[in-house]
Amino acid sequence: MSDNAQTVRYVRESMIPPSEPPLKEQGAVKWMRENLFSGWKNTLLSLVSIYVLVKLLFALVPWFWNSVWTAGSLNECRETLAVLEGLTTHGGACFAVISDRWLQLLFGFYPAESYWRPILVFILMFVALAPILFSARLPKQLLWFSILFPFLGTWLLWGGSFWVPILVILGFVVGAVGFKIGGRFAGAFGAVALGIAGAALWWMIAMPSINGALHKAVALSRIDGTKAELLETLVTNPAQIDEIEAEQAAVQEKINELTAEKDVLVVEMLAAREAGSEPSSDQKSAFNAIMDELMVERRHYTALGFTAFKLQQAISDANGLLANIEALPQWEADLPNAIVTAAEMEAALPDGLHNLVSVNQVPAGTSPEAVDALRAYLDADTAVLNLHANIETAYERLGILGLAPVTSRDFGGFMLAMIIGVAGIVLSLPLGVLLALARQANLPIVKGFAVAFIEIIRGVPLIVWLFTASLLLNYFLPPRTSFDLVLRVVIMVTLFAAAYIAEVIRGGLAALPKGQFEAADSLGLDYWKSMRLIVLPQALKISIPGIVNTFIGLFKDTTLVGIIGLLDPLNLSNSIRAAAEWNGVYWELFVFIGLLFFVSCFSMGRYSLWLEKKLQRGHR
Amino acid sequence: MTTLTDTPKQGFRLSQLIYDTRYRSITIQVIATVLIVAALWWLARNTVANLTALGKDFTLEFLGNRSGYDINQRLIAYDSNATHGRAALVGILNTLLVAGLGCVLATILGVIFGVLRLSKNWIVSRLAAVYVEGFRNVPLLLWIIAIFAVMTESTPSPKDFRGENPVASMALADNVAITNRGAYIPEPLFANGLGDVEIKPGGIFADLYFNVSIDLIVILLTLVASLLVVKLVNTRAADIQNATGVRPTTWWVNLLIIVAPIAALLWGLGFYLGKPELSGFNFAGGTHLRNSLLALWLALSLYTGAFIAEIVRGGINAVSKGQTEAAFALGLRPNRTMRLVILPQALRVIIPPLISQFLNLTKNSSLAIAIGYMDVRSTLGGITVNQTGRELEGILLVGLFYLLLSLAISTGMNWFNDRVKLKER
Amino acid sequence: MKKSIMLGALAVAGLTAASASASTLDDVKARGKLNCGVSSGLTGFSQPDANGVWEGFDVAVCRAVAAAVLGDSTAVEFVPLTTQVRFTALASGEIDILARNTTWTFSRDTDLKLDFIGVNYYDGQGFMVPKSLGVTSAKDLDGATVCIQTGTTTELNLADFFRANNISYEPIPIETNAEAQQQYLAGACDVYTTDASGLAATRATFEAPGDHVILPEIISKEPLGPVVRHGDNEWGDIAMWTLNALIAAEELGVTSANVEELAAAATTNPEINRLLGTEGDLGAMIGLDAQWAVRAIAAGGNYGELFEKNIGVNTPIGLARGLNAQWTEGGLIYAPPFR
Repeated sequence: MSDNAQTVRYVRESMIPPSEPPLKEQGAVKWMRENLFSGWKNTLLSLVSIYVLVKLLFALVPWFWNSVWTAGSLNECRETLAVLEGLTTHGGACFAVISDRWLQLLFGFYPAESYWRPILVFILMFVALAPILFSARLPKQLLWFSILFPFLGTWLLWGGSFWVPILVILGFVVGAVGFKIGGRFAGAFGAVALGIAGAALWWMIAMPSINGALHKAVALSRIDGTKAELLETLVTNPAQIDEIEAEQAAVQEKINELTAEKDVLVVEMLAAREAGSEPSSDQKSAFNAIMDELMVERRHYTALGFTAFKLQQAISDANGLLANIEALPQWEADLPNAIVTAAEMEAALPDGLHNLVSVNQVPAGTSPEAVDALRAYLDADTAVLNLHANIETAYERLGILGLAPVTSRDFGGFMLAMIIGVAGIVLSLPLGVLLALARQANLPIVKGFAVAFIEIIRGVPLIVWLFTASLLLNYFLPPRTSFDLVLRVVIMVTLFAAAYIAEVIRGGLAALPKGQFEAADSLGLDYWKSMRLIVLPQALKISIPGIVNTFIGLFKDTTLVGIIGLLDPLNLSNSIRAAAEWNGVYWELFVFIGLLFFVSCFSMGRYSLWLEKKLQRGHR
Repeated sequence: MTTLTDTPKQGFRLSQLIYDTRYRSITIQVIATVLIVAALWWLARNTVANLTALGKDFTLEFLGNRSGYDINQRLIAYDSNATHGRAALVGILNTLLVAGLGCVLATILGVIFGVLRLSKNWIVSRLAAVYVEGFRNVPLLLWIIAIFAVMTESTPSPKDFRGENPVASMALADNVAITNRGAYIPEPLFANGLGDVEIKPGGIFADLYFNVSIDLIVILLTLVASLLVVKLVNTRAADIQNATGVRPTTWWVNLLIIVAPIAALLWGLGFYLGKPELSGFNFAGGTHLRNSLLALWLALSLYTGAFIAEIVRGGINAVSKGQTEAAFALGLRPNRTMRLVILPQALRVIIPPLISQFLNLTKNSSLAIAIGYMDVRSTLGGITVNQTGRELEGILLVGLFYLLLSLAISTGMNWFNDRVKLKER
Repeated sequence: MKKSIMLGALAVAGLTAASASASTLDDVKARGKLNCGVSSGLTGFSQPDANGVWEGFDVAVCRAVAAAVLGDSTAVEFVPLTTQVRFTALASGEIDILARNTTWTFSRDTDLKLDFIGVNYYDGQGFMVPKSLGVTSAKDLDGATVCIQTGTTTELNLADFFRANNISYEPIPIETNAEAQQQYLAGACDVYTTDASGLAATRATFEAPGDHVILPEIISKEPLGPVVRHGDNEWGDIAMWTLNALIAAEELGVTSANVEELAAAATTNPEINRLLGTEGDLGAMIGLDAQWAVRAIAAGGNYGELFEKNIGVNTPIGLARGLNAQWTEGGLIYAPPFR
């Protein structure tokens, strides 16, 4: 080699500059040749795809482009389309319905002055999720917030006195203490038994009494002030309402004027169109200006209506509370007597009628007197129950110290979908872990039950379970109890999600190398310790993408709760269409709802993909 | 044996139930059983108490009462004079129909789009991705409603076919009419058919009566017989091949054996196609595939197909690249590589999640009510429950049906999976 | 007794919504709110406005009852219900009164253990067809495709009607009015059938209402009325007579505008006096005070006012009184005497 080099006389010292690649091999042309038109099959596919795409765009773009955003009703939308573009309804979308009702689609009937609460919960949810989802970058202490978040979130959403979530959390503390004590004296069984019993006793007996006592104390301490305040409300609010109504009348006057003005303009412009000429741009801008002004006035009118509605509600609440304050002494005086009477009546009942809850249940051949006695006892018992409830509720309303309570009936729209989805997943996680462990356990009967539960839940469509929640759960509960529908749905969705989560976690458990289980055993850890310290942390971590996917599925499935009457976005869209001004609006609402679902599900799906990739890398 | 010698002399102590691992599992199971049985007993007791308190009872007698409502799509004879039980049966068959059709189409769509998404063609793979993400991330209920509405908006109504210069015309040589009430396609008819045989069970199965066309039975029997003969011919050919090394040409014999008897039979029965024709408000004659069926079928298939596409893509990606390279090295063309090398291996990964997608599709078919497809949820669990006020019985029956169906599908598919699974040595 | 205490505890924990007690009136008074089941959306009868305030003809009945019992027409908690869950919600005590365009039928009144307290709207199932179809009678509809909003009695009426006239049809059952409307307008069905009031409301929102006609045949009787639980007659009486008070008020010329004035002192008409509590003590007989009817009428107006405000000819729905006119004007609306 070396001597050969010396024989070369002339060596080029610099490289020839590379010549430009041929036109076919560079830039967009090359990209298209490689990616779109390599071979006749690919070309055909590309052409077909482009054709489909262009067709779709031609069908959809004008509809979106010509959409109307400022109008008070579908008919105004049609008018606007007709005069500005000369189009029929199919030519352009009427998104005015969205600008009118988007808050309702997001929050349902949640009181507008409290919108900050669900928004705050939504933001806090990300803070709570952060240490779980991005575990590597955040301090461990944040996990405490994640644990507290469900209680905080529930309180923020439903409202009530600030001590209620604390009392609920204390139940867990009591349970943990019971667990520790039981573990010291009676081993694992004692620990579990005492833990559950302690928590249950706390929640069932201690918590309600403490809660009641606190409410009563607060209520009594400020009862005079409350009364004065309420009486003042009764005086001031009607006056304010009158004022607002006067203002509303003025605004209505303005709206009527503007509408008349608009109608004249519309007739002119339509006449121009009729004659075959486009309305002048002056006319168009005048029309737009009127519409804008009209919308401002209408919003003003609605806002005034809302204030009046709130004032009216305050009056109605004040009336209710005052009635309660008046009735309370009587109720409290009646209660002991009622209890005694009911107890005496129960004692006097003939044999065999003691545990019945309805006169329909009496065995054949019972004497009419006995039936009457039972009926009387049942009435007396119900009276006691109602007195109890009345007193408790009255004190709770009077002694509330915290956020204004919101009933779950007012929940709706995307908020409801989020709540049902998140609550379903969060509550189903512990149950799902237990089910997955039971399914893996070496105990045939326990395993059998777990498998049966999972298969039964997964084998039946969610919609049937929702019907069960709305129609049948009342049959399964003790007589004369009934849960609020949202709660029933959350319970059912939790059971439903638990079966799916159990399968996801079972997958996570199966993916763990056997060595991990054996290593835990060889360290001498007992079953629960090995699960808690070694197995579950790893299994749960690999299960997160699966859990997120289950959540996405569940979140989409919340649209089904509309079928049993809850106001999810889809069912809410039916309510909106029932309003005379929006009756007939069809696609616009679906597009908006679909878009919101798409954005949230798509981003969650991307996150789960990202996590999957990260986990895969972590494993190698 | 060792355990016997290890047992302490003082015999069995109660505390062993907790501390001794041999007995502990029994203790746990007994406790679990007691708790669960107690819970079930509690639920049952509450139900009985609530039912009596409401003055209701638990009975399935309502299934024998006159239903009083009509169902548009019925695979078996039914009218409003039939019983609620019969209506439930019509619904069950409709559910099975749409679920079966859906599983097939969803698989086809899923495989096509799964493969397309991996295509090197930029626009094709992007479009496939848009399809997959679009369908996966929007609730199915919304898609069902939207597809139903799009189908009615984009197709002509029967009145457009009428008149001197009709706006719309029938497709495929006037054989098929696609309208916004569904597609009308020709139906097979027999001029000298053999009639029907009526099957009429008694007792509690009295609602299970149905008619079977003798023509259909004869055709099927002929077909089976022909196939048996074909198999015989093939066996003989294989024998000859084994003996002489030369395989006799059999394809035309086989073709003849299959086609000739059927053709002769059809001719004998006077087979012809009944074309749909405009009459009155609608088309008459032919088979009517209703829009509700088509839309539900399409929506379920597109939605599930998007999930299956992801499964297929994952399965293909799971096959190592070396396999492709090896196939290319052998000189196989890309599509043959896909068909002969990649897909069979990917199938192992694909089938288990595919089963759960089929189950999902079947369960999701219960959303049919949204567009008025009369499946079992709409008949038994919907109108019947509404009419009779028997929500407990109705919903339980519907739940039981779906449970049995799911178990049947998963059992069948697992059996299939076991058969196609790679037998590892 | 243990039972009561446990239930009390659950109630405090916010778990129990209601216990169906013997006296709905006591429950409502203690609660300070009337729980009223309505449709989640039926134009003119019940719909929420942009502020989430419920409005409509059915809603107005609940407001009147709340005004009579609680003295406050806004003290109503509206519970949107589907057709399937409405009776269960009533039976379980979730709601106190159901005002959800529910047809009064024999089996509902008896077998389903409900009590209908009267009729607030006499409806009937009708047909709407495009004018271009040239159909003038429902009997010409042989072979037609019929869009039907699935309810509870509509399917049965339709099946009965076509069977009785021995003509065939193809039903397309549709879950919601919005979809039925879309299907009908796209021509997927020749006919749309539902309650005549619903047809009128739907037609009013079409781009060209004049292109569609409602056929003269009304194939069923649909007396729509509020419902209460069977067995609590005291509560049933209150609801029934509140509705009757609204009807009687129209007959007697008592309106929301003049009710205060008429109730201030006894008038020359003794029936008005009895109704408004300036003579006799009818209120006490149903467990309310003397001013109950005054408040019910002042809440939204008498029957006629409610009708005109929510569904009358001057609203977008534009229903004529027809059968729902007072008996003195040839209708069926008729209140028993207040005596």
